[in-house]
Amino acid sequence: MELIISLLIAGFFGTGVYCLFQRSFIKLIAGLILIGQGANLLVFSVGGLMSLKPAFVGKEAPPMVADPLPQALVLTAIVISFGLIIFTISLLLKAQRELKSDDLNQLNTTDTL
Amino acid sequence: MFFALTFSILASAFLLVPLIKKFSGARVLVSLPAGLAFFAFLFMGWPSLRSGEVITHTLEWFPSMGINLDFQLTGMGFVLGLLVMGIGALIMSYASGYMKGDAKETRLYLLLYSFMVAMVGLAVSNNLLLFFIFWELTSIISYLLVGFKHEYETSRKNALQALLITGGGGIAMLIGLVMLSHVGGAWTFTELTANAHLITESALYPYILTLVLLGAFTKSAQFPFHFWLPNAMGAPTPVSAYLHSATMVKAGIFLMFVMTPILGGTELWKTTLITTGSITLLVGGWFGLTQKDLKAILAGTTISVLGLITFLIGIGSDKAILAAILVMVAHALYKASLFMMVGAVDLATGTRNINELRGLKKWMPLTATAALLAGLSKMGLPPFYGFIAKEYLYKAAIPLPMEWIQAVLVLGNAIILALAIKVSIIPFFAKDKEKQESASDNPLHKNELDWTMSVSPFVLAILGVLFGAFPNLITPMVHTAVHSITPEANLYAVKLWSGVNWPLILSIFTVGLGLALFFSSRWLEKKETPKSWGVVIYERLLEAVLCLFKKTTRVVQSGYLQNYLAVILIATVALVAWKSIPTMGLWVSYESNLTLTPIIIITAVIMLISAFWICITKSKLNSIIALGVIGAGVALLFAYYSAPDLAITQLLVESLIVVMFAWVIKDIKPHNLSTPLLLNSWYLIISASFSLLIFTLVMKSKLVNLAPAISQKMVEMSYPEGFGSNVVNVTLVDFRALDTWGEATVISIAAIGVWILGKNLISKKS
Amino acid sequence: MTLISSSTRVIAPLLILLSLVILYRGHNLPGGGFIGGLTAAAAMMLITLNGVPSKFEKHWNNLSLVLIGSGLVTLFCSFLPSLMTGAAFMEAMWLPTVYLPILGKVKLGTPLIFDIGIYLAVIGFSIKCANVFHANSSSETDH
Repeated sequence: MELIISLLIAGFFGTGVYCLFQRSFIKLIAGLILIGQGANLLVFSVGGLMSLKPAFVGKEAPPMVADPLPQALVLTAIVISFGLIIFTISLLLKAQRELKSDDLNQLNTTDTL
Repeated sequence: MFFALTFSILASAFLLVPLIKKFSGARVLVSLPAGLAFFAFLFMGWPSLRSGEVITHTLEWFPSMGINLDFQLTGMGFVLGLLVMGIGALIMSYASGYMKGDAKETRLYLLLYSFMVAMVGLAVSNNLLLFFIFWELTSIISYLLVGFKHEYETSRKNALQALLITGGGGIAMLIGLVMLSHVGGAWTFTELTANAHLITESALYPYILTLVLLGAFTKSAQFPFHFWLPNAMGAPTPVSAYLHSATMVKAGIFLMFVMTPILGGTELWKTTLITTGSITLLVGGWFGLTQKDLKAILAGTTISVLGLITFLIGIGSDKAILAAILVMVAHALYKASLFMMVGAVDLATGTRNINELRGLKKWMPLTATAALLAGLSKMGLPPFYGFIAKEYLYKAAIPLPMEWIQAVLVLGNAIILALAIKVSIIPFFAKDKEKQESASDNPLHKNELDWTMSVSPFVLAILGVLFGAFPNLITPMVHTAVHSITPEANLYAVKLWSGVNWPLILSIFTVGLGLALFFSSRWLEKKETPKSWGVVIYERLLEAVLCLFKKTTRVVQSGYLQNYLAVILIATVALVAWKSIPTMGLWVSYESNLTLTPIIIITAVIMLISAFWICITKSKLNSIIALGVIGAGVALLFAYYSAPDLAITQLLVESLIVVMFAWVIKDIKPHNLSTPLLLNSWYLIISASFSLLIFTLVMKSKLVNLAPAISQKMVEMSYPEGFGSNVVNVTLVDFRALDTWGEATVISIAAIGVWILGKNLISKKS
Repeated sequence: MTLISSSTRVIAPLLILLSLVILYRGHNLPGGGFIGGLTAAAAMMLITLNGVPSKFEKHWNNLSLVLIGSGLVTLFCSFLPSLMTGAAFMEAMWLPTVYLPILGKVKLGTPLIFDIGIYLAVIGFSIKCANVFHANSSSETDH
């Protein structure tokens, strides 16, 4: 696998997880986004990277184009993580309004609400 | 046809009952579906049963496993079905008076009807699993009914107790039934009966028997599980009358009847049932003697009679089975009647305390008559059906080699007699000698209540006389029931008077002992009922289990995201490293066939710096900008590596996220949420090692070609068959449209989630 | 009238038009339901940010749910031909190619309907979120 891509993926996962460890809700969302990017890149690149040969075909299939399958998967993944992140943001909004806090450590007793 | 008709008439109640609120004058009509179903069941079922024709119906369910919805009308099921629907109709009519004006009355009717459907299903199912499903349904509905007054904590507690005990027994029974079908090689009762010798000779037989009987004993309140039944009396009286005396507790009895030809006849069966039945008879009677509450006394005698029936099934002779069915029918008639009477008295006077109720016949003449008739049947005096049942009970017991049994039976019957006097005679006919200020002198609603409340017990009590005087009215049905349990049985005639014989002498003796017990029973009553040890064990056990889970939850669910994350990540890193490092080694070799352009390298470096910047920065704006940079960078990578669609989507999504994120967090006041340095470095170590693990794994994975054949096929088929040049899009909307469909659903659900969260906020503001 | 609000009047309709073009051409060139939907969502976001014209304000909130619902229904409708003709579920069905002025060669089929469903659902989702966030942030600033 490509060194530079691997570094990127590992970097995204590492920083994403580190953000999840923080107490701030905003950092949590940032962490989710980072991990999402890392995962998308991972799926995208395991299919084999190919520069500047997008998968557009005519009547006859060209011999070498980029693998369309991981691309389709990642496209779906991007939109789903979009939905997930927006939902998390609205959770943040709710927590902010109800508890006046974005401290995750204060969100551990939902039952007492 | 037969089953479909019966069930659909019963089901029509679910349409009818909700209308009650609109036509409150005709509320007694709630009993109509039950009554109609009763007559349909009787007039369609009886001719074919009599002629020996078997009504069956099978719906396929899991044909590959031999499990089907098999319905069959047997003699025993017929009797049970008639009891359920006949008494059910009377109970419904009674309930329409009893529940008048209660806000939850519709709920009660619907639950009672659901129960009726389940119970009739139980009576006519011929498949072990179908039987189990109906069995559990009755437990669940009983739970809802016992907990009907759910505002009260005791009510909820008792409902849970009844559910846990009968449900626990049900689970044991399920295991037993599965083993039974495994050994017997079939799921239907009829086939299992044919293979009975396989089962009784099998090594698993004792286990099967124990498990199945656990189910029956818990349901029918046999010792030592009897304690739930008195506690279940907190339910509204129609429920006590219907479920906890006439029908549901008979489900366990029914199971034992049905199992007689399959599991019965062995020494183990006989000993277990006879012993348990006798103990239950005495324990229930003793409980009844110590009580002052009318309902509790009746609960005690119900337990006694259930023990009696279990005992008779245990004997298993022709006479005993006949006697068992007679006792069951007689008990259902008089006990339901007595319960309804108690409910009426309770409503009229506001008390159920036996010592406060005297001379009620003046105010409630109809109820008093019904109570008297039912009580005499319960005492086992001629010419009531209870007398016949008791005579045949003694007839069945006399040939037994064990003398102590007869003593136990006489004692048990004497207790039942004493309690019958106490419940049905004293409150109505005794004079208030002490002239104390008791509840019966309270002039507050002293007269008869709604007519429906006295008619139903009256009808049942009259039936007890009618069947006693003319037993041949129902003897044919009783005989088919006996026949369905023991096909080779001699069918003894059922007569009211069979001359002076040993059973009659025992009966006279019983009456004498009963009267003696009655006169001494005042001293047996306890002020406070101590908890029976069954309840104590149950409560301790429940407490221990709850405590265990509370402790476990407290340890496992700390509520801190950091803890969960740390556990998950450490476990992941440790497990993957432990498995993969020895086989793959740590060294990462690097080979590339990709030309790296400076643009890509610069982009990657900028993205990595941004990622680290997000970790460090305290400013929320900086985080958002950095996230935007990363999103754009990823889009650039997509674009460079031949994925224009991805690049465009990524850019659009990224910009939308940034806008919405900024929208929300612009209001958030920054907090100083710093983590202690030591803890933070610990998190840093975990994150770094996780990152390292990912890096190693990604480097080690040599271009996993996801599925070359599929990808190749997609590229080839895209234009000729998908009519599109953009393979990615053709994949999304055609080849893999199912995924995309699911994804659109996910987005919609997320939208609903956002909507609901936001809606709450908006409405709270205004 | 600020710069943003005046430019929105020009940009938003253009973006929506553009999104339709992207949706249509997606089968052969970069584009499709997602990208088109997100482009239109950007337009909607602009409109929301800028303040919905008072004429539409009442319907604006319902619009998103209608769009999501109709999107899901459209998705399902695209499967109906395959269900009715007895082909495998979700199998694509096509009409014969026709030639139209301006558009040129046009090939209509169920995948296009499917893409339209995605397009609608994505727009609906974005409007819903934009509404919620906007309503909350503006109510906060009012206080």
